Amino acid sequence: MKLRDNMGRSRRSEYILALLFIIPGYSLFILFNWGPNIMSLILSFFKWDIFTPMKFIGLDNFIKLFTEDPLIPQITLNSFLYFLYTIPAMVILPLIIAILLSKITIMRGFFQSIYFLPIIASGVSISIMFRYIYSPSNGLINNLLFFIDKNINWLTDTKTVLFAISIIIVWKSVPFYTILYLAHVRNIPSEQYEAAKIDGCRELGLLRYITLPAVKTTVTLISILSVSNSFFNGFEQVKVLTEGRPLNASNIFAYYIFKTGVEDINVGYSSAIAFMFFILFAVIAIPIVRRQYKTV
Amino acid sequence: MSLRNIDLKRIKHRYIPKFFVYLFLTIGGLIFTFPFYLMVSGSFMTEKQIFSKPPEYIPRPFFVDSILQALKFLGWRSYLNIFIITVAVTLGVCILASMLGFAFAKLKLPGKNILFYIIIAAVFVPWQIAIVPRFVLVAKMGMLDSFQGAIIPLLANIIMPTYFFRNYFSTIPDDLFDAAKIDGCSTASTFIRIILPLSKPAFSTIAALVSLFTWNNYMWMLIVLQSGKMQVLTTKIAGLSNPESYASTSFMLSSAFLATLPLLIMYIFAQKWFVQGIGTQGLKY
Repeated sequence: MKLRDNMGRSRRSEYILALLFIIPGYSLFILFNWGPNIMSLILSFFKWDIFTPMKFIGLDNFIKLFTEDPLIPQITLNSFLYFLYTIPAMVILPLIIAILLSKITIMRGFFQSIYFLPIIASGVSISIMFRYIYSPSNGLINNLLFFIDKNINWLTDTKTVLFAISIIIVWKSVPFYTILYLAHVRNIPSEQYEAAKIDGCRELGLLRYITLPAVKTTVTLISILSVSNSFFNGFEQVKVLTEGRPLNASNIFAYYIFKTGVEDINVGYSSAIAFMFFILFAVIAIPIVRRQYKTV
Repeated sequence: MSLRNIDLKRIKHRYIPKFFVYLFLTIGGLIFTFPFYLMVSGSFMTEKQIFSKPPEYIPRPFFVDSILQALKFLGWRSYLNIFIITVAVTLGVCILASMLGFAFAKLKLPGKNILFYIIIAAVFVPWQIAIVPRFVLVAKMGMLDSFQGAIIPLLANIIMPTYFFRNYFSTIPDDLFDAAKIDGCSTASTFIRIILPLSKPAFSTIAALVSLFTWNNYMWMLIVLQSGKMQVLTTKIAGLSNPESYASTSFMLSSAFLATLPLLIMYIFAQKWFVQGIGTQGLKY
C-alpha cells in the first residue's frame, strides 16, 4: 500500500516535471502560431479595420474574392506562372549540383563554400544585388545579352518581370536544396556503388540505378518544401523590387495578403484571401504527399 | 603498346568526365558568387564608373565615400537592434525547443504524443498565412514597435527545432538516465548536467539556423517595427529601394554589403553548422 502510494507520488512528480518542460514553449506556440492561424479562418467571415468594431458579414469576403475583385484572376495566374518558373528548377538544378559535388574530392570544401554562399544573404540584400544586375542601362544581364542589341527593362516590363523575380528566387533557393540533397546523396552506402561496379555498372548506370532511386524520397520532400516555401518566398523580392508593378504583373498572393491586410488594414478580406491561398496550397501539396506514401 | 592502350582508356573514362564535372561546377560557382562580387565591387565604385560603357568590374579608383555614407545611414542603432533581437530569439528558441524536445522524447506524460503532433501539424500552415492576425494580436497586446513585439512571436517558430531536438534526445540511451538516477541525480538535473553538455552539436546547428533566419527576417520586422529608432538592417535597406528615396546604386550596394558583412564573417566560422542544420532540417525552422 505504502509502495503504491510512493509510486503514485513519483509518477505525479514526473508528470509535473514534464508539464514544467512543456508549458513555456507550448503556450507561446499556441498563442502565436495556432492562435493566429485559427483567427485567420474566423476573421475571414468578418469585416474589420482594427479601429472600428468587427462586423459579421458571412460569406461576403469570399463572394467579393470570387466575383468582384478584378485582381484575383491576375494574381492567381501570376502565382501559377511563378510556380511553373521556380518549382521545376528548384527540384532539378540542386540535384544536379549535389551529384556533381558528391563526385569530386579535390577542392570539395572550396566548391561547397561557394555554392552555399547565397544562404547567408537576406532576401532584401539579394533584391538590391539583382536590381543592379537587372538594371536596363548597365546591368550584368543586359551586358551579357549585348548581341541582341536591345535594352530589356527586366523589372518594369509586364512580360519579363515575373520571370526576372523567379530567377532571383531560384538563385536564392538552389543552395538550400543542394545542401538537403547532398546530405541524402552522401548517406547512400558506398557498398552499393562497389557492388554495382563489380556487376559492370558505369557512371551513368550508377546514377540511374543507385543514386536516383535513393534520392527519390528527397525529391518528393523538396517538391513539398519548395511548394510550401514558394507561397511566401517571393514576398521580399516583390515588396522591395516592384510592389506588384507594373500593372500588377508581379503581384503574387504572398504580397497581396500583406497589402490588403497590413497596408490597407482590410483584415477580414486579407484573411479570406489567405484562407483560399491555403486551400490552393493543400490542393497542390496533398497529391504530392499521397503519391509519396504510395510509392514508398 | 598495351600500356599505352590502358592509359588512354584511363584518361577516357576517368579524367575526361572529371574535367567536365569541374568545368560545370566552376561555371555554376560563378553564377552563385558573381552577384556577391558585383555587390562588393559596386560598393567601391563611383556612380560614373558603375554606369560606364563598356562596363567595368574592378573599382578604380577605390571609392570609399558610399561605404562611409552607408555606414552613417545604417547607424549603430540598427545593428544593435537586430543584434539584440537575434540573440534573444536564438537563445529563446534553443531553450524552449530543447525543453519541449526533451519532454517529448524522454519524460512521461499522458497524451504527450498528441501535443507533439499538434506542433508538427502547424508545419503545413505557412507562417505568412496568419501574418495579419498575428500583427493584430501583437498590436492588441501593446507590443508594436518594441523589442518584445519583434522577439516573442518569433519564439513561437519552434516546429522544426522541437522536432529536431526530440529526435536528437531520443537517440540518447535510457541507461544514461538510470545511471544518473542511481547516482542520485534528479531528471531535471540530469537534463542540465548531462544531456545539455552532450548536445552541443545539436544546439550549434539550431542556433546557426535560427540566428541566420532572424537576422535576415524582413516581413515581420517591417510589420512590427515602425519608428525610426527601432529599424533594423533589412527594413532600412528595403526602404532605399523605394523609387522616392533616390539612393544611388553604389550607395544601395554599400548598404546591402554592410548588412551582409556580419553574416559573411559568421559564415566563414560556422559554415559547418549552417550546412548541417539545413541538411537535417530542411529549411523551415
